[in-house]
Amino acid sequence: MHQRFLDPQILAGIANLELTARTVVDGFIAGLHRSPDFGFSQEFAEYRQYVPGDDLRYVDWNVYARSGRLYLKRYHGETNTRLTVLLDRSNSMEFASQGIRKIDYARYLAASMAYLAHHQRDAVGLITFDDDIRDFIPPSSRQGQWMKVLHAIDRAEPGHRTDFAKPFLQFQEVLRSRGIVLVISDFYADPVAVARTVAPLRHRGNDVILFHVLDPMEVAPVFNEPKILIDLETGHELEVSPEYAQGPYRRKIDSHLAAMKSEAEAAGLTYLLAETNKPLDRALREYLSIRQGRL
Amino acid sequence: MGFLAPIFLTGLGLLALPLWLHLLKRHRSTPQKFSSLMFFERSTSASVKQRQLDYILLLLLRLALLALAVFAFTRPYVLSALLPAEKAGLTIIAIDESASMGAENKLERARNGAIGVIDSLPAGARARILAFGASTHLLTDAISEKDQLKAAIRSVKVTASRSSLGDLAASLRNIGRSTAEAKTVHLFSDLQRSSMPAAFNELRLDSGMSLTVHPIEGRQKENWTVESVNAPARLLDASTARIEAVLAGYHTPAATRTAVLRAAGREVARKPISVPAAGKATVVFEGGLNIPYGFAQCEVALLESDALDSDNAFLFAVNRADPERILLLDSTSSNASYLYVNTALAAATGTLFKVERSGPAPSFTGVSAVVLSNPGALNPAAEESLRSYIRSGGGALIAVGPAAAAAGRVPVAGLKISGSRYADRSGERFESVSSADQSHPAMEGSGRWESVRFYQTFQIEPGDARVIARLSDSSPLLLEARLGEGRLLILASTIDGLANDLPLQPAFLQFAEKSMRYLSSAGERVRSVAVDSNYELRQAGTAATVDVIAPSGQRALSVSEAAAARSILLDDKGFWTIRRAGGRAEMLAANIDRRESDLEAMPAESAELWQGAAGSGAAAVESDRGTRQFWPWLLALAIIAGLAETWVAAKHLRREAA
Repeated sequence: MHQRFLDPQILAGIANLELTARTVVDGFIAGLHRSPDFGFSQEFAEYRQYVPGDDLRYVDWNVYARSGRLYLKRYHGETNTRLTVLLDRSNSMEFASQGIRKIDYARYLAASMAYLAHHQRDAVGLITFDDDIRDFIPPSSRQGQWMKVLHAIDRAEPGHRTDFAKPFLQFQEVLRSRGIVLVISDFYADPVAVARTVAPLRHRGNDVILFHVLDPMEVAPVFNEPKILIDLETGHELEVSPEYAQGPYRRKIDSHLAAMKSEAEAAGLTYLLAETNKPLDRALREYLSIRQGRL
Repeated sequence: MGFLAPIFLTGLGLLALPLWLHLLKRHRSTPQKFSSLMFFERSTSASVKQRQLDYILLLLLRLALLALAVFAFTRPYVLSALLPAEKAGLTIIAIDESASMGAENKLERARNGAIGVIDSLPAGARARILAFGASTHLLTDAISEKDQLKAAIRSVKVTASRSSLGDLAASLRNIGRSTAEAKTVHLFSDLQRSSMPAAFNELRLDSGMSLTVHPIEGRQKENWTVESVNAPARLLDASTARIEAVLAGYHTPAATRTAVLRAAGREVARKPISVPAAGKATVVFEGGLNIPYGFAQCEVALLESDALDSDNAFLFAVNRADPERILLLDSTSSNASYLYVNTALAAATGTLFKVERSGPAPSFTGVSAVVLSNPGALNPAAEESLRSYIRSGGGALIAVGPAAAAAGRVPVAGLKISGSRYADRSGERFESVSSADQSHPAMEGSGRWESVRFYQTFQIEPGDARVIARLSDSSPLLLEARLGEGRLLILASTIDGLANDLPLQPAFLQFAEKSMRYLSSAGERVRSVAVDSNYELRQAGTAATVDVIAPSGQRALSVSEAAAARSILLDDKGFWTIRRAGGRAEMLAANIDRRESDLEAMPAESAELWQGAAGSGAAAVESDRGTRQFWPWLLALAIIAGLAETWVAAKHLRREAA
């Protein structure tokens, strides 16, 4: 039953991204066994005297009424991890062979992961990029962060070419704290270069998950007749025969996927191939598994 | 594989029928958008005279239908015994290449053991070799060629890395997820207790993966090492140099060791030191470190040999240099800024920085950082000279004051000043800091500036600059801007004690020191790190080349990496030289992680527990023997192909009719 709600084709019919994320995650969590890891409690830690600039929401007014002094209540809330979603919004993500575009699938995935993290009180941040950083929301677990992330995901429409090198150099600067980094992209780049570019995030103590989003037609294209293919990013045109698409192309894409997997494993990154016709629950499980390992 | 009724194979001739039916048609290409042409090459149909087979799916279904039916009639069978390799699953051999494997020929023994495992595999069985230290290297794919597997095993060498069984287990889990077949892991390692992760749970392997541990034991556990050295990274006066080295013994009796200090290739001093049983002792070398100006390669070493010789020397680099010059430009005649900055730096760093007031024609040659206090409109030549200095890697702290506000922009940075806000000191109205990025190097250790009162601030439009701290009205207080290779820190208030009480607060000491260290890029740098550390080469994606010379004397980065790499993994023991733009150089020493020095192995029961826990899922591998006939499956597939053919054909007919 829940599996049905995770089907991307059905999710594509839900226009509201927030509703989509809630549908996916609530359906997914309802399908899990009860686990102590999903709980979250804010335990009182200590009182601290108020100093100008402190957030007035945390002032204990009862103490103020009794003593006439301003004190802040502090809580233990630091056992949660932080999730940063790196979402590729390059032109190649525009591709769709059967109703759902790769960018839509990636957005559902990003929104669901963000909602799942938000649901668990984790700090959530988002970076959208193509050949540069287009949107950057630093990880936070504050009120309203979820909606900020959601709006940024909603804004992420394909527009430029992909260039991993430049944005990733900037990510390394902004991702200073350890946490979980989720890279959602179609990785049309040399696997060695991708691993070498992403690996420094891993060296800094992040758990890095690469979600390789591909359309089934990209993995196993089937043409009934010769096609003139137009590259979505460069606009170049190329005449391709069905024989090439089903022979050499498949060998090349298989080899590319194997190389991505192998290079990612060697660099200590977790690699997952996410085809746009597959449900989203595997991605959620993988995130929970890694998050559980951090606690 | 064989056939019980091979006569029916003649029926394969029927395959020509659908091929004949699917006549070739004219070549035509229709345009279609595709995500990337990265894996495509130009190729027109190879069929005769630009003709191709139409309805390829239909043809395949028809061919499959006929072929499956024919093969089903021939009643094929397979001997399971002919497929031993498939049943055996994948063998993974993991060899420890950490520094401790260099003791007592352990790696040689591990390699021999691994080759023995390869020899014992049945013909055709697939195996994969990996070596691990702090990270895991896959040496081969899953292959069955024993010669290649043995060559990969022989290629494993002792490295300066530390071993991490937790990272190895994580890599094995990743490999385990890649295929569903059963996997047997043979681990060759000295299984140091210090290699174990904090939680035993991190050693877990996936179900379906069994583990056999081959411990490489050493006879001798006693090992002395130079655990750490405390030495000045920057040496201003050779006569006051004080170098402390901590000698540690692991499982050692009380003994006397001889510690030797070497600098720039010559022995400076040697001292005998008594090290208590399994304990530590500190040896101090004072004065006499007469090294030439520039970086010197130094080490504190133990003369006596022991179980692991590679950790007997601790390398460190010392930079003999003059104090860093800080040039202060003040548009007013007041001496307050100079007094505050000079006093703060002297109190925080001693003689590391030397603050100088600029004359009417400032020269930035040999200056480590510049402080502009309440700068007005600089004359164009001086401003261009300062810009050029910063572009080439210099740094400046600009404390904006009324003079800059009158000009309407922050000099050098060019940021617009949209106004100023003044609070009356007598009325006790002031602004305070509401948020500050304490992870920024300039703010490190100086707290949140809660008690600093700002009476006059200037509203700066940040543009592309990064905001480090904000005031309670959300306007930026401290910003960082980039100019070429250099950095600019901009404070939206003064440092002369008039517009705020920052110079009078304890936080100013830390801020002055950290910001000058950050801007000068020549403050106290780490001069010795552990092997496998990641060292940051540049703060932002600047294009200037950074050359890294590895301990072997070779360049560690390619040309493209030298222009773009943000960090480098120091994967070898020795002295690494980093040459930056503008002729600036750094040297740092990489030492073997001292956790490798403790040669005690993990408890035998832990190793057994690990093996037992990992093997729980391996029993699922079935061992089927005998013949297996699968003609009913072929017949079922033929029926499915027939149904699919009917559906596809109907679809094509509808399309053609439309």
